[in-house]
Amino acid sequence: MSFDDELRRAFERKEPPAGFADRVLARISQAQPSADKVRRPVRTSYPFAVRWIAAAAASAVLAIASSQYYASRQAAVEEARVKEQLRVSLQIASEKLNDVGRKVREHSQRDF
Amino acid sequence: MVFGLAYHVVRDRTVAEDLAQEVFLDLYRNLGNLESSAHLRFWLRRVTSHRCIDRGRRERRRLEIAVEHVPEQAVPSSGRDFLFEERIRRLVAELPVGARTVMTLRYQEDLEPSEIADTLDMPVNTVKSHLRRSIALLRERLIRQGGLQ
Repeated sequence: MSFDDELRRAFERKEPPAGFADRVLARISQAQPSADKVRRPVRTSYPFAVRWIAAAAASAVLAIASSQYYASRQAAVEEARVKEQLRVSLQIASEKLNDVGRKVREHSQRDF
Repeated sequence: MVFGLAYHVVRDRTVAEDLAQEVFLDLYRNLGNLESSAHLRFWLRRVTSHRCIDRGRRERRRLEIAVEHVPEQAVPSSGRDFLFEERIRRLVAELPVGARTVMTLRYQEDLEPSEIADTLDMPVNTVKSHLRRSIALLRERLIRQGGLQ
């Protein structure tokens, strides 16, 4: 018999002592958390009334924000329109004033 | 497999049983991660070996072989020399824990050096060197004791 075979025989598998499986099962059951130590799960859903109130509040906030945005947008448009009118008016007035000035200068040159 | 592996490395039935129980407790916790019976065998060998090495390094003391663990009289009809086998086991117990684990995986589990390397996260050359040196040491001591020609 070779030395390798001698070694294989020396290292042959050993069976565990009697009752080993029962002791393992006992340790596993000890390792499991008992019912009173189980942590409560984090609440993931709320009652219908709470959810309804939350939805209504969210809708109200959205509606108010939308109307405010619309109003401010309208005001900005109106302001721009007024500014444009003013600019055009001033331009017309300026042209007319220039015309008047030119005519006054022509008359005064002719008189002298 | 688990108890045998632990026993051959730690050479103490009580410690080996404790280690084996811990391995099965670990197995229970990791059942979901195991994909096949081959994976399970690999996992058991790996976890047992690492636990044995950790335990061996922590204790760093030679475990005395209790008289009750020495096999009784050799049975002539079986053709086996139980005393010689026990002498080999005693000599193996004197090896460092890493070499002992490599020898156990090689001769109990019949693993190839590459499989031992995977199991122990060790380079194949280190495994081969452990085997070579351990076998040479065992041969030398057995020859010195007159147990090997």
